[in-house]
Amino acid sequence: MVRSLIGTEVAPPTWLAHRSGMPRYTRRALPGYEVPLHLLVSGGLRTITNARHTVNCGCWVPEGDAGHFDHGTLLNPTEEFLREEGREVPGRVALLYENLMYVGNLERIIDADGFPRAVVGRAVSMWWTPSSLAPGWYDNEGRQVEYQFNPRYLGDETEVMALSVANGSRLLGQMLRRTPGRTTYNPVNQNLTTDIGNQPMQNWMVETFIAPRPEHRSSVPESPRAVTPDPLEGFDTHEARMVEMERRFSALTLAASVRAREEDWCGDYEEACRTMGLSEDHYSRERTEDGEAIRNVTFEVTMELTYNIGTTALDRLLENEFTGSHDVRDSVDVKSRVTVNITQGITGDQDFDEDQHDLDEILDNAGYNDYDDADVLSWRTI
Amino acid sequence: MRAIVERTQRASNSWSGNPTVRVTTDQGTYLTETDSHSGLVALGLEPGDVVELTITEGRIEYIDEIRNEEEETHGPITDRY
Repeated sequence: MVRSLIGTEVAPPTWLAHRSGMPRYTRRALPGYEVPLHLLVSGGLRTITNARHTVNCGCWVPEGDAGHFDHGTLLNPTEEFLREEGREVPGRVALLYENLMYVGNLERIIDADGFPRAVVGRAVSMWWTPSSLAPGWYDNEGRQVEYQFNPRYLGDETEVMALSVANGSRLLGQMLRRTPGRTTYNPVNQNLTTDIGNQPMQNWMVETFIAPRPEHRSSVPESPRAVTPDPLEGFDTHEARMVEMERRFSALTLAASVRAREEDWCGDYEEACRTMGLSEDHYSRERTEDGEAIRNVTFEVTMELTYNIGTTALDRLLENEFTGSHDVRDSVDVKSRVTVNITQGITGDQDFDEDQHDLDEILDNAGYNDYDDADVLSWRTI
Repeated sequence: MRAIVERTQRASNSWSGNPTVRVTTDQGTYLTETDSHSGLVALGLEPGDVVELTITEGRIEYIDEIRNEEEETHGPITDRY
């Protein structure tokens, strides 16, 4: 039986580790950090393995990873966890969902055991849509099932954190629409994957959930984020920040990547360019077979990059590949604000499929593809 | 009022591609203004979706899919618990 209680050494069944190709994981102590009272993690197999690889935590495997493992082959320790802990789960509770359908499960578990319906503490739902399953999910009979996000399963104080690679972003949209002001999503992590040992995810978990131990605090570097100007200064609420970031990203992706497939939509892209502060000095319009397209958008992006000490990426950074200032710290998770000049030349007969040219691809095309992630903070025309 | 999403246009397959959505109601055709500060999130809406929306001063102020309470988080997978 898989027991995933804090303080209990846990390893997945050997057959499972073999089947998944994963090594048996071991709980790793993170020097200088401590887990808040409880960290309860649920999610797919790779999620919880990553989590346990990073921190001491209770793990909930909701009937296995729907996409990769048979249902019901893993036991769900959450109920046991809650029961043994008593009627209350103090401290921070992290609920990492592959899909918010599990919120329903949580409610049932809590109800069945007489626990309060609302999640106690601060619940953070981390959700992503595995591209292999998008746009829907499948039950164990192969039928596609579409789940909807229903905030009624969340306590009024529950904070929702959506972490998504968002291929099928329907649920993400529902979260944003249905819990406005309570849903935060972090584009820094939008490329997060769940591969075992995935450093961005581990960094994110440490940064989000793990507090420095008092005796080590002096040696734990401060977050560079804390000393860098807030790119969203003036947007004080989650909702306002979300909307502003969305606006910026939408404008950026629109202006940099879209192709006007039909002439009557071209105006939207021009509007997006104007939103970015771009004028026709910064892009050109061309007639195409499909209508009219925006070409040759030139802009400058200030990004916050996340990378890891010792990686090739850092070496390249230190070689001053980027322009702009660097703020490099010896940390498990180093972030730096850099400014990258990008001229996105959209010319010739290239097929600029509208679904392919998002920011990541632009950065890739510009040669900035060795970084774990990048968060665009701002941009301006050059 | 209810309407059917007639068309969406998004620049990217990523979350950042909050789409512009066009709906036609008996009062006319409206586009979501997702690039504004309206806070309107049209992400995930697809053509054919039945939506509930409110129009204020000629603008879509609220839009969301009509929820199917039976399906919400009670699909076959969750029912297996």
